Amino acid sequence: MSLSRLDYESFFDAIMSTIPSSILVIDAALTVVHASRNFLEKSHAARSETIGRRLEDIFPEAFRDTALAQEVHEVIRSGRTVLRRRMSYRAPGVLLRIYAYSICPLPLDRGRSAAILVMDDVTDLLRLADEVRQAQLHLASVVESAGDLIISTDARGRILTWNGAAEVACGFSAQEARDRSFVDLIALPEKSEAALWFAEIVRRDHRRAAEWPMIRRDGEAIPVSWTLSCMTDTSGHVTGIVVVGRNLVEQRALEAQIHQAEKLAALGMVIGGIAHEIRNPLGVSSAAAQLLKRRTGSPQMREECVEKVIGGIARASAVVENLLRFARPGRLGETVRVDVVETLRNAFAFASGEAAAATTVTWDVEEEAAPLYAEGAQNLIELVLINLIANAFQAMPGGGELSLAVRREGCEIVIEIGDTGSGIKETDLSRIFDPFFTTRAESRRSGLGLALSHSIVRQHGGSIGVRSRWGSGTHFTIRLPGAESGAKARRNAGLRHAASA
Amino acid sequence: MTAPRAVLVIDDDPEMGWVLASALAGAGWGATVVSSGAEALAWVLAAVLADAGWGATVVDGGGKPQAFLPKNAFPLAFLDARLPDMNGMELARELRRVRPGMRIVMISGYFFADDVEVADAIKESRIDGFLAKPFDLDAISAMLVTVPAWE
Repeated sequence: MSLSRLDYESFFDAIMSTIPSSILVIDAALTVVHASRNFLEKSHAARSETIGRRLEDIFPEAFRDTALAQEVHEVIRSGRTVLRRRMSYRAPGVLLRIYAYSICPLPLDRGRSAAILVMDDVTDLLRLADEVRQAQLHLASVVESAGDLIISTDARGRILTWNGAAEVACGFSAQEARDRSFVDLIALPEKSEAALWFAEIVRRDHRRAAEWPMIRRDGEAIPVSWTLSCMTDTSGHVTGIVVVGRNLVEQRALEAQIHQAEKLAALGMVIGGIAHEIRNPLGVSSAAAQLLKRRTGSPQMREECVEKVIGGIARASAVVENLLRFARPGRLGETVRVDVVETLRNAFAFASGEAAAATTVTWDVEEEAAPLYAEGAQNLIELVLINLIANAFQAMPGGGELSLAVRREGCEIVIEIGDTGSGIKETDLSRIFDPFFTTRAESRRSGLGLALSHSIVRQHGGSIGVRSRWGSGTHFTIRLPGAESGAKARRNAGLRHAASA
Repeated sequence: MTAPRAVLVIDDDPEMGWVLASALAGAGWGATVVSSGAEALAWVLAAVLADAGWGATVVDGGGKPQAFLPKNAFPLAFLDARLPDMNGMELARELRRVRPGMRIVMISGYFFADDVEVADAIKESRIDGFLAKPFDLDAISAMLVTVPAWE
């Protein structure tokens, strides 16, 4: 198509009807020369009612107060375009409408001038933009006022946004945090794990949770529990990662408080236990001494009183001795190779007085060419075993099954002592090695047995563990260094002891 | 000569049982020493039966008769706070239920004299008195003086 053959009128009409705006051409006398189809539709007016009439006549009354006519006049006079002005229009019974308009000069022949007025109803557009802005503001304020740290990063882990909670927890402002690598905020040694996760989450899981310490601006690391989720676009491509973190500082403080309260309660129990253990024999000694002071009774009776005085003091001081042993487990003296199976048999024989009539015993001892030797003090290991076997028997007052097993595992000797008795409540399980912890109100049971056993096994460089279910029995596992590796383990235990002293 | 009136001593430490019995003997009282809550309950039940005019004999686990109780046996029991089979406060409650007229005095190393638990027990009449171990023999005698003459 060549320009010379263009039918200007048709071209003009075509453009006028294609552009979805209301367009008027107005001459210098402010008479409408041309009106687009869009304008006629919007104003519900016929072409004949519009063309040839003055501008103010074709607009509803509400427009007449606007500067529109004045502006059109000015554009025609000056030849300068007016762009993107806005006017609002309120007609009775109609909601407020807002129009954006531009007026540009249109030179005609013979030096005459006119103007083109292009108007668009932008009411809905503006409302939409406003709603979008409101929604954005709302979302932003949700993120900003959330108690959790909400951080977004790009797919490689560079921080894009960072909310107020993150700012408070970490000490960096959103600006300072931007473009930093999130992984750099994680303290060692978890940092490498975090880096790996960021690499993997994009490829695989799209969602992961972990607890990593975060380094604050002041260099201190605080515990935070993190959830990482990928943001994906419509084709499933990862565009970024949302990291939500819960600051665990307060929770940890609360836990510490609870732990402290538990420790105090345990200490109260310990003190009550000590009081009972010591004041009982002191009571005996004191009463016997008072009887002696009365100088009554037979010579045998007075002899017996003297025995009670001495015996009571010895018992009280043995309690104190045991407490000291517990509190300060010293280094083992001379150690020997201890035949564990033989020691277990001795302990069993010693404790079997506690067994109820209907008790069966199963032995599971690994048959080896050589005996199973542990390195340690024979009498102390035997004491631990007697204690555990006696406990097992006492847990089965109506009879049951005691299972004893010894085997080698690597360079350790493993001893297992199980019963089918009452078991230990889950809430008590963590406290059974505490000194003076006992669920029985018996006075003879000091509540020191398991605490001492634990202490002795640790002294040997070994460990003691327990599994139990309330109602169906308890199972203790003792691991002692085998005789070959015993010396080394004990040296290590000695070093640990020296370090903690 | 009639047998001295007897006190029930409930303590699982035999040494303590011996010194208490000796002290009581010095004050002209007999003592039956038992070492568990179950045994104590058996003796007190027998005493209840005897009070009601029934002949009651406590036998041990092997069926051997321990003693034939007269009427108004054990006007007083000395009770330890920790026993092999139950705690002393629980036992006190049981004894009180079975035989409300018997005076119960707790002797223990576990509590102190103005311990809240002890003070509450006395206020609520679960026990009638408390002695902390070690105790004065004079305090034991003082407890005996409070025993009503039941005859």
